[in-house]
Amino acid sequence: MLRSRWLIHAVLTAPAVGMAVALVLGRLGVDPLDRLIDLTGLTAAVLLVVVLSLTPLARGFRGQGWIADLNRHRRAFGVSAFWYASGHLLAHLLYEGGLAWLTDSLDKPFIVAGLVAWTILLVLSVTSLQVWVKRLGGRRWKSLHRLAYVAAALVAYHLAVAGKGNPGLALGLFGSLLIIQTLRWVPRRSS
Amino acid sequence: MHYLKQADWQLPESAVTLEADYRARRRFLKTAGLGLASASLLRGTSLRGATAGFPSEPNPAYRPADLKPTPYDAVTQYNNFYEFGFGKDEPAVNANQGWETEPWTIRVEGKVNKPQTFDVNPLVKTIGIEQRIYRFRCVEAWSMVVPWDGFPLASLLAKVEPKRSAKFVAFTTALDREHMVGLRQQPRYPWPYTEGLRIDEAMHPLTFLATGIYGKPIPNQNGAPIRLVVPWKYGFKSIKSIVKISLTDRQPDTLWNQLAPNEYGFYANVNPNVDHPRWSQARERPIGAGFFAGKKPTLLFNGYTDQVASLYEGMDLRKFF
Repeated sequence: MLRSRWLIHAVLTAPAVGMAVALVLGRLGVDPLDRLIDLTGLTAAVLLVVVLSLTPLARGFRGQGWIADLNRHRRAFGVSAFWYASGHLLAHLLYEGGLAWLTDSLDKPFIVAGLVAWTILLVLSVTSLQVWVKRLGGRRWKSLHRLAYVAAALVAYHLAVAGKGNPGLALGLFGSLLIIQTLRWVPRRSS
Repeated sequence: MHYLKQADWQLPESAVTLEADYRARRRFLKTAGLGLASASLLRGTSLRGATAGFPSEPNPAYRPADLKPTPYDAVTQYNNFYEFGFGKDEPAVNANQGWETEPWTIRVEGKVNKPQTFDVNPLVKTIGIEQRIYRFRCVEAWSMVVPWDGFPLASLLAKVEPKRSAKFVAFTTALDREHMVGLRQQPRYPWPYTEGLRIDEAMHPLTFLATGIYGKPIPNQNGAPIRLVVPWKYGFKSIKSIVKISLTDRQPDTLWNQLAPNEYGFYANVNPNVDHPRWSQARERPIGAGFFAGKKPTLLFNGYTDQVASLYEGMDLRKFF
């Protein structure tokens, strides 16, 4: 069942649908745009952590077919992280009422971190198509896509420092990611 | 004249929520997904704190024609009151789960000739309340316009006769470990919430003690039954639910300055030219103005420059932020 692309895409779209429904029903509080900034950002961060966890999890739990199945959908997870991050950026621009905010805030490190992370996700999404693997060659493509880890670190910082500050959440999400990465070193069992 | 005798258990008429507001609030609560919880919430919205003194007289000196008040539901559902949770929608729920704000006393002491404890309702009846429409600017860069009902802080301080040695005024919020669920979420904060003003700031005519909003007793989530409003400073200076006021000769500690001294200063004057370390203070989001309202420019001293600039003459506002 987890091989189904449609199911995965449905699951990945569900948060966006949920947010849209909540917005229309007026369930997003006094300042819905403020809430949307938080929801889109959090969804993007979670998806980024998930996509970077899939391969180590698949390696660590070789017997579990469902993880291997999920692992085939890495591109969908990664690109959807980019879409939610873009929604987050758009919500911010709307909240601030224009691009003037960007120039005002370029001296704030956590905003720059977020923008750089978004740019990385943009580049990775565009080059996620098979044609790019051919154009760049497998090795260069793989090196480029390692930038996802840089994006993850930037997002962890951005999340920890933004707004009221969410150090606990950032630590929980990205600490888990670090721990999961250690599964890459699980030795191959001889069958 | 014919007086209708009311039973002890009956709330005074001033505590009755206007029907239109009652219905609007129920509709809002329903759509905010709080329909089921509204039974307990409505108990809170009977507004029991500081019920005395209404109806209040509008003070024409503080009623600028161009200031449009933020809708009541926004003012009472978008609150930073961390003792009742971090989310802005939490205090409206958590502060109305049995937290009693009437009766209430304030202790005023320190460098004064007549230290005493005041019962809030009789105090309000003695001084009388008026309504003022003030701008409110949160340090997080959003803002509101609020019609506050209350009286100048100076009127209360006059009753205790501050001594010449009193240079500062320190304020303390209530600490209720049973009802303030936020205390357990943030155990490392130096509770209770404290704030302070210089004596000339405290005695300034703009500095206000509010016991009501929009002509009704102030809701719990807004700092019932009595809170400070210092409109030319960031909102965190406007301490809520005051239990103690002390006059001192030394600058008092304040919670936010203790937690993050590089981000929250003692003066906290609204200033578009002095950024918060993590975000710009040049613009602010007007709450209730709509989804696409964007932000508008922030005014120095939140637009009260004429009234307060003289307090800070010669002071480096960047150093003393």
